[in-house]
Amino acid sequence: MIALTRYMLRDLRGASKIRSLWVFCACLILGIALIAVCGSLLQIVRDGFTAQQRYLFGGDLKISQRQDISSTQRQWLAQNAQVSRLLELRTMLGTPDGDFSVVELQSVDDAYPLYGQVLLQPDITLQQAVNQSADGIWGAAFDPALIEQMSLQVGQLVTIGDLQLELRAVIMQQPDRSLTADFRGPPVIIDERALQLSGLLSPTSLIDYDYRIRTEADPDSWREQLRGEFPQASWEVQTVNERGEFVGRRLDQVASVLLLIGFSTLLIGGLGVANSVNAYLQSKLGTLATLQSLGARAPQVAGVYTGQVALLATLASTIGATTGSALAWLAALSLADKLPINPEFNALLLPTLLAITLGVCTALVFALPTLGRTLSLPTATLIRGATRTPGRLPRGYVIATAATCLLACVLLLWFIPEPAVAAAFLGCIILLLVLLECMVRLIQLTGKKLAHSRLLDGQFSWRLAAASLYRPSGSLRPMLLSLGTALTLLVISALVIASTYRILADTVPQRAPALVFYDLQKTDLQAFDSTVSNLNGYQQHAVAPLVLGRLTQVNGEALSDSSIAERALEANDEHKLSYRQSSIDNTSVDRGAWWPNDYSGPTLVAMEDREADQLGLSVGDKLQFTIMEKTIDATLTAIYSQARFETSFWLEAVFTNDVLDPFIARHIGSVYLDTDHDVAAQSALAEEFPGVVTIRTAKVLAASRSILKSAGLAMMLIAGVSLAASILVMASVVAVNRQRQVYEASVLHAIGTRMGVVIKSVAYEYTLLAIVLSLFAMTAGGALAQLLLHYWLKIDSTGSAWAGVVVALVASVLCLFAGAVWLMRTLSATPAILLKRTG
Amino acid sequence: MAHSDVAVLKDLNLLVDATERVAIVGPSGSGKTTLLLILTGLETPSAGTVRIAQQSLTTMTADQRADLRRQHIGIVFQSFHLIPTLTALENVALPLEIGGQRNSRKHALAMLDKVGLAARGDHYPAQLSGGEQQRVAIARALVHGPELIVADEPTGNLDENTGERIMQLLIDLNRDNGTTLLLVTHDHKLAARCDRTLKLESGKLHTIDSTAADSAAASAATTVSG
Repeated sequence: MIALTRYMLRDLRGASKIRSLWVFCACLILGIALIAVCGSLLQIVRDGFTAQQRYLFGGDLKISQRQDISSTQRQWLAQNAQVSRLLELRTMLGTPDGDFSVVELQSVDDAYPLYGQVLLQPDITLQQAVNQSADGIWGAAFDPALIEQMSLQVGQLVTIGDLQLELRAVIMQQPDRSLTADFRGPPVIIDERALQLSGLLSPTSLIDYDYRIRTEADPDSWREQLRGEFPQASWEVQTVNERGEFVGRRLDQVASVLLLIGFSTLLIGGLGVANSVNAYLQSKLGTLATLQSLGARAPQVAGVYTGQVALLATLASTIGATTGSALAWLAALSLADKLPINPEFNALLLPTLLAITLGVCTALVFALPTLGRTLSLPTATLIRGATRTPGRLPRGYVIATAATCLLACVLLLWFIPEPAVAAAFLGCIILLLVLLECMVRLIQLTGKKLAHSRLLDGQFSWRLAAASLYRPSGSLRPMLLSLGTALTLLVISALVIASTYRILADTVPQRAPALVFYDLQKTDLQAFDSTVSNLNGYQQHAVAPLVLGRLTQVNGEALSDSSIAERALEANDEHKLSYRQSSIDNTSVDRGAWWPNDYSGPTLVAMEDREADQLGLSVGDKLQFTIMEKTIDATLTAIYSQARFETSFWLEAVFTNDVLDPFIARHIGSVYLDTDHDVAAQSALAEEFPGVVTIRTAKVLAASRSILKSAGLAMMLIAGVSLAASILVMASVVAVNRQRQVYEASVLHAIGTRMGVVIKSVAYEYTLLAIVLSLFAMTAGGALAQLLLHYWLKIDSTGSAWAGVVVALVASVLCLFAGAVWLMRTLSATPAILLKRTG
Repeated sequence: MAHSDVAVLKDLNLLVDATERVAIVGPSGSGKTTLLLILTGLETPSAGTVRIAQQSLTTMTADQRADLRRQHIGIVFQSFHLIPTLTALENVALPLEIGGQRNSRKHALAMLDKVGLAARGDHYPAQLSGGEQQRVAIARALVHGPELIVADEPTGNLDENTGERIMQLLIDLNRDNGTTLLLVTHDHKLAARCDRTLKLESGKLHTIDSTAADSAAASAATTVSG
């Protein structure tokens, strides 16, 4: 055993000079590093959220309602826990020079925050920042995002509603700052008494009344106690555990997507591993023959070479996993000011170790079949100089490969947090491999027919190229498997990015309004119409009512009693309801049909597809909504989808005319203006109607574009890593075939073929491969991207197909051109030397 | 590290007549394979000239030498040098396909039949014995009817009966078609059936049994750095 280990290490000494083993290591390092970075980062973030979920949530429970709770309820809360009241609303903040922006206004009491503390710059207490000064001016603390957006400074006076406030401090740390604050509006904290004076608290204003609860009791039991005390209350009560689960699910979704890309890269790298091991063993055939002829038993020889592969895989995986975890650590440190995470080394240990195990398993899964086939060659064949590996894999290797594959699948399930996603990934991989295998056979059949057909009489180069597609030991299968998978991923990324960019680019000039507005009170409707019509650059505007209501029953079953978890969870959610106003939101009906414009009859309703799908609704369902304690029964006749980047309001349900009239208190709408009039219009409206929230579409689109740009870059980066892995694999494929191709070229030259003809045949072979690869990537990538765009992102991909075609063609041609050039350079070696050396 | 030039062949003059059968013998490492590679234009001598069919190989480009081999020369390598990914039939058909000849497979099958391997046409080299591979290599060298056959140990891997059959095939080709034979061999029986036998030793050729002729001429000298 010791002697064998010593021989194994001695034999490996010269491995640094073997290029195929470098490819082996590079493939593993790349795939494992991607998995380790995602796995470790997920672990750090998950641990961070778990440790600080009470700080993030703001308490142990949160009671939310659109109107304030009763004094009896407030009294009960105060008697049974520590309570903090927070009022939140979106409103406009204005500067004296007429600049306005949407902010998330939060009023706090003395108990806020229940967990953690708010850190301000300058270093004063929150109460000092928000209270009324001696000269009667109330203070405010503001989010640092506003420094960038509006150039706000400490000491500056601003207006919110009817009130003038002094900005006294910048919020450096707010434990419960919403993760969506950057999108919804940066937080501005004021005193509740100041809010009362702002004129924004009218009975019909859209305000969230949040009561944060801190208790030593179990949050779920405490909630049961609360429900028992106030069974009729319509508030939404959420516990910190539920919030944790929700955040955990979101994290898992993001991590799953990233890990899938990591696993795809590892899969592609695995093909490189198989090719590299094949190339390595081909160079060891003579050694194998010598060992066996000297009396080494098959298990001993197998032990030596399997040991070498395992040793190299462990080393490469360790480098990959350590690099990945180090990158995750650095990423966590850089995110520490944005996310509540406190990276700890211990969190990295398990993902790193499991990534190493996964790397070794992957290497063995791909290497064992090659090892088995080569090591089971009879000694006599090896001595004769075997040039082809026999087909059957010995039973022992089949079992070992299956067991390692199973272990790798278990590790995949551990890494990918969503089991359904992991299972779907495995299913897709199997499907893709089956498709590729079918394609390989089809191409081989075509190649064989073509090589033997009279069409190519006198076209020796073409005949050679066609023949190379079907001959044993050809490069078609490994190239199609590795480059095909990588290019498919690349095409999907390109199509998704191109389609979303195109939608954004089309949105601004054609369909998007310049301004959208919320919270227009019914009493201001007439005055608002008149002001808007007189704005500079005015084109048109549209207004629609907005009513909040809850869906309480589906086909006679109360949502709160529903056995379907999604329905029960939605029981307390308020939905945005309106009438059908085609000019407000750009919608199209997916299922069912709109009612006629002159419809009069029983109440009908149409619902947005995501909401309807989440609730499991279908056309024909009988729904009951509750609005301001009154119920409305309606039949679901249509399910519509919204153009994701073109819509403004995300109305969740639309009713037939007149049904909502008794409940209408506020309106929403959009204003179309000539170019470059939006800023002035926003200021004019904000000054006259301080309670109306107006948002400039251009600003939202710019923010969306910025997010998309980052997402696009990330996608391209990841696709690039995948491509790098596939180029490595292609290098390994070329390496494994290079010796054979050079030898064949030398023989052909010796029997009278011009070198130019040989090189031409290589060029034709790689051209045929590039065409096949591009077609495959375009078809498979296009189909998968279409599914993704149509069913998930709801984006029309028409007009973006060129992106997929260009990417597939350019990438495959570049990859194969590089491979062909490398091979052709080798072919220029003197045939006589090769013929003397080989055979 | 300094390299010193080693002269493998020096002051070597060889004249071979058309239709002549010449055997070259010599100990291992004497430069027999190098001489054959030079004669077929696969290796270029550092000095001297090689002329075949009135054409000087030393002034030709690599492509012109390839054309010359395709049109006039058939080579049988000591280690066969069959293409492992082609079947026996495809290997034999190669010189015809390279030359763009029609019905190449039909001719190749006929040649395989002549070497007794018609039934093994669909087999890959790895599925054939050493002797069978040798016969495929000979069939490949003969299939396009070359005027000069250069063979390195053509019967070295064959049993006595098969060796005799192949030897007869080569002699018949020489007699019926006037093909010139230049053989490197250790087989004294084969050498004895040639018009003359030359011994290569210390880079020089010595006539063992000569009947000189001078219608074709070749003279070469080479140095190999090592």
